[in-house]
Amino acid sequence: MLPLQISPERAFEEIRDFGIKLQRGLRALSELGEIEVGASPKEAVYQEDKLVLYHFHPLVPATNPIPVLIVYALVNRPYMVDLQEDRSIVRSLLQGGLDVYLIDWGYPDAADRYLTLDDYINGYLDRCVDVVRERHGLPAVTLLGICQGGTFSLCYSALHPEKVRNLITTVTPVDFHAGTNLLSQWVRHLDVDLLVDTLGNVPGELLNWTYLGLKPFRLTGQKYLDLVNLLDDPVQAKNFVRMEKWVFDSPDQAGEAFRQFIKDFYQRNGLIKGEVRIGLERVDLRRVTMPVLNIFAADDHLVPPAASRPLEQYVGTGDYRAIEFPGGHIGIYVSGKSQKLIPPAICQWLAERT
Amino acid sequence: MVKAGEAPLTWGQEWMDANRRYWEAWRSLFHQTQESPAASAAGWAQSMQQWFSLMAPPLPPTSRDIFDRLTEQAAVFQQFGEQLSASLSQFNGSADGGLAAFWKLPLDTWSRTVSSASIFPGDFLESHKPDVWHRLADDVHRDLERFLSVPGLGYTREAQEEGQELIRLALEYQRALQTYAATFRSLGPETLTRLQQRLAERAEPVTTLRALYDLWVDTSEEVYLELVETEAHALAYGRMVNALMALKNHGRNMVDEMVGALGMPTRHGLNTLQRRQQELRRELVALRRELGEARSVRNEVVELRRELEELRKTTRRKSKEA
Repeated sequence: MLPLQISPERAFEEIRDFGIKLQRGLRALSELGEIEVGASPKEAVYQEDKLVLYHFHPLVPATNPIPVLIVYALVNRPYMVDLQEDRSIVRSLLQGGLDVYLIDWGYPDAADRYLTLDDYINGYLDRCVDVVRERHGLPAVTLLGICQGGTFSLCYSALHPEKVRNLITTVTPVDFHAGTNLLSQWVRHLDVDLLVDTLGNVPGELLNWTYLGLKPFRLTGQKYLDLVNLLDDPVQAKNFVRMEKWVFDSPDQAGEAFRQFIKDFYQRNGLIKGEVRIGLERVDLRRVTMPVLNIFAADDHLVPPAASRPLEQYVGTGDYRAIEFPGGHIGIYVSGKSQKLIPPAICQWLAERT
Repeated sequence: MVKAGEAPLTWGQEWMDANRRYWEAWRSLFHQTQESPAASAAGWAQSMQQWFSLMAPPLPPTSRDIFDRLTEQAAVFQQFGEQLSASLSQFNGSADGGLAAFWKLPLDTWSRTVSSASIFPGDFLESHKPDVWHRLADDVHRDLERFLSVPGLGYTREAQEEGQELIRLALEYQRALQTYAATFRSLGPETLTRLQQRLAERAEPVTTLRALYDLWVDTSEEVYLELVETEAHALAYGRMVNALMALKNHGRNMVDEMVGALGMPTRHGLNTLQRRQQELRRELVALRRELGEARSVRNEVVELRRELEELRKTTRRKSKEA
């Protein structure tokens, strides 16, 4: 049997059908109009420099008195957690009776080049936590960290445990050298000092290309051929374009914070060794004594499960739970499956600790 | 339909002719007046761009980007079909010849994509070129290095040396880029071998272009991952980026010296200002916090004094009453 049995007629028909679909699809693409992101009503309750702290309007009366502060990563934009009505982890948390806040770090420019991790964690993040605590008259809040924001939340919880009632980390790198971690492997021999001294802030475009380089054939080619089959349906087409908007919406990285994050976390793997210093203090994960829920994705190509799973070994809490989500790094927030699994699990876990 | 295995050797050409006629008809449908190139993917993509510029209203930026990527990949897919038929027309059961060239095509596309969009310009898969290019490049490098070792003389000695250093760094970057590209040398052949294995292992034959394309993508990703997770790749990547940064850094320093000589603000000066500004802001925040704490203590003291005064008054009153 010949392994390839593509007749000329069939191939011709396929190309012709593809062309017709593409023609229709491109017309549909032109008629999509502006793409809106962010589905849930919210208001800015605190602003400082480019940072904005948002409070989402409740959808149901809050059943859990402890507010949740979502700490997003510095890379990409936080509207991914509230992308659209049926793909919004925020909306699901609100419907679960939680009071939700979100930090938007903004787009750093040249004047922000000297922001350090100390400025981000002991500065901006700490002040956001204080704002939420004061608004609710509580000594401590729940932190929900996402990816790099999860690592920030871990550091913050170790440095200020009295202000964190519960800690939830999602797709958060902890052991930066574990598993097949391509990003970690690629930066291992970079002269990060030279890179930051040369570029100042690190361009978001550079990060985008690095991410595309993780799966180049899939992400720069096949994905767009798949799109041709989606364009017949305006809803699916809009979903794709919305996601695409988010993928390529990458803020530049403040140079000094990037320098420290790459050197201390990625290159030295200092978080699990207790060698990271934020400001004057050493981050000791044993001081993370509050309840911890660690959620990671089984098929994550950016933060492999092996990088997140070891958290249990290093934190000082006796109340630790892990959830492995059957999906990828982004799917954990936007897939239909995640909407059914992740927010209810979070709400339940928090309810048991209130 | 032609039965599998019975296709004449020339069917690829026939398919291409039929396809060409189709696209010509397509173009004429939309009254394109430009002389038609061969029905190559590039021509097809151009037609699509022209058609779209006529038919489509102005797009928001995100849709425009997606349109560009979509037409680019559609052109690749079109070319995929053409090359496949051309290659299969020469196919005699072995993996070399036309087929090998066919499988390199999508790799070339990725190469072009990276070269055009990456901040690291260059021929990403330069390693596909014959060895003679490397030998020639080595000779040129040697001659240049000899020239660069000539010491600078006279009043412009420093400027000469800086220029020499710039060229040295450019050469190092070029070498590092070549070494990096060479780590991908085996990507094409290994993908081809792996794909043949996959095809041979399949219970069912591949009957559509799209299925073949998907199989190729899966295989390419698999081979690519094996390559880029090696220490050799990490070293080559690190050296390449470091060399580029050293080159850019030196160039920027030279520009800084020039603009400084003209009395204009320099990058170094701005960096100093921004660093000091951030340090001052940090101090300001710390002072505000201390001030807040001091206010709080002061308020506490005031409150305690008030209570003390009240107590005194009460004590005095009680003493008087007693």
